[in-house]
Amino acid sequence: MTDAGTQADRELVAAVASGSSEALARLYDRHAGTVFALARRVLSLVEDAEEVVQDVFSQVWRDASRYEAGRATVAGWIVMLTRARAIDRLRSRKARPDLRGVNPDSAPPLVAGDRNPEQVTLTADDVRSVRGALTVLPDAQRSLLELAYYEGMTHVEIAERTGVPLGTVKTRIRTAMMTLKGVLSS
Amino acid sequence: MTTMSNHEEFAAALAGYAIDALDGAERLALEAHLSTCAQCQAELAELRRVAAALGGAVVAVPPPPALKAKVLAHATAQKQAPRAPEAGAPSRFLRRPAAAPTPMTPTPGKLVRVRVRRSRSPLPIAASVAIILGLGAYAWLLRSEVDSLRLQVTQMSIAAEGLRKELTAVRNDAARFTHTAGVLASPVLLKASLTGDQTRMPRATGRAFMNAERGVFFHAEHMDPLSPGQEYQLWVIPRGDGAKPVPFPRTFTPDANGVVSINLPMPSAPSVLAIAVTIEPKGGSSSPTLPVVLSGAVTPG
Repeated sequence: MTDAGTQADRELVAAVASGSSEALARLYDRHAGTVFALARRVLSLVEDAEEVVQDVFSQVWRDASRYEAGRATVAGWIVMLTRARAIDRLRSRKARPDLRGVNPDSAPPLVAGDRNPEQVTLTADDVRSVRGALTVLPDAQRSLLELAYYEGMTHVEIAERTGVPLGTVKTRIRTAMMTLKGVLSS
Repeated sequence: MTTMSNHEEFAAALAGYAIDALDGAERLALEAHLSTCAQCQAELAELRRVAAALGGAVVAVPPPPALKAKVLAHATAQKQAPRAPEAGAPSRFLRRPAAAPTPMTPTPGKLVRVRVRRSRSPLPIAASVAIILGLGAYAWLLRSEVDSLRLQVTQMSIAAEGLRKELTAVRNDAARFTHTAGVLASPVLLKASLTGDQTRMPRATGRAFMNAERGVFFHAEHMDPLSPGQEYQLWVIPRGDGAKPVPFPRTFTPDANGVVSINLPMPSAPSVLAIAVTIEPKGGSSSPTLPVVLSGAVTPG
């Protein structure tokens, strides 16, 4: 995801929008490893992660013409789509055993990848910085952030799961996010 | 459930919103605020960069080789969206406020009516119909949200009783949690913004985050390349006149783009006033070779 890589991604998405399956194959080669790894991080079953990979690249194919570059990057779009699809699948897995008692209207809100994923910027520098900063976040902050990010839990759900007071959950997650934001290049 | 009412409260909730951790009522209240607050929209864009980087931070794992052909066959069998998005399509209404460059004007309905009447080139009928259909879809979405919220209110009133019981338990734990919060808030995380020496390395910038137990994470950009046999070294500048700088145990070199991101253990130092970087012979020195090329004062995180 160098600048050249970012530009190459944009050109590939433009080609996909014109119906080039070859361009989709190249996007797959460039990003499938991250998509698969992130899906595996969220979901325990390999089969589920493979389904997510299929969902994500199908959506890239369908929506390539709607992708608006601006300051955003294709990598950001794909990562946010992946998280959204993986958490959708995680929630449906969790809901399945007791479907009879679950009202579909009470389902948690859509995740960000469903809303405006094409507007997200992601660069190799950002990834490197955040990866490094994660290693020095206090465990108490990182563990709560991971519950929200990789398990799609809300503040309230995290408080219920961990027994940490709701206000503390919010503060720790916010502090962690602000620390990570601090290491991003301007 | 906290009711947010002012900008500071909404701004504080943005981090949770960026990773979808807000519950229904909080989320809707924040979205209403976002539609009118350019400052929060800009902050949210930055926090969503963090969210994306968290996803990208996983170490890539090659999927099974056979998956590629299956995925490509499945994907390309599907119909692609038309190139120009249709005006009034529901997906446009679902776009987040972050996509709107300017805050909404109050009483938009009134303004829209005036504009439509006075326009010299009235909207084509087809576009008007599309907008009406879109607004219909939007109204339907809002209705769904309202129904969902009603259900949540019912569920929350049931949950309230349980929460009251939890509150008692939480109060009993308050002293312990207060202590934990204190530890997190002050000495655990220190940070420093470093700037380059104005003559030697004016473009260089850096950030350091320090935790007594976990060491330091140091990230810098625009660092000059070094001559062979040289390395950069990071130093703790302790408080107090005449206190000797304490070297970090390892030296480093930036990548070809002048970027460095490293984790180092914290050296033993009585107190930390500032962090500095010098150029040293390979392997490092026990006292710094001046001048300092990059430095910054330490503040609580």
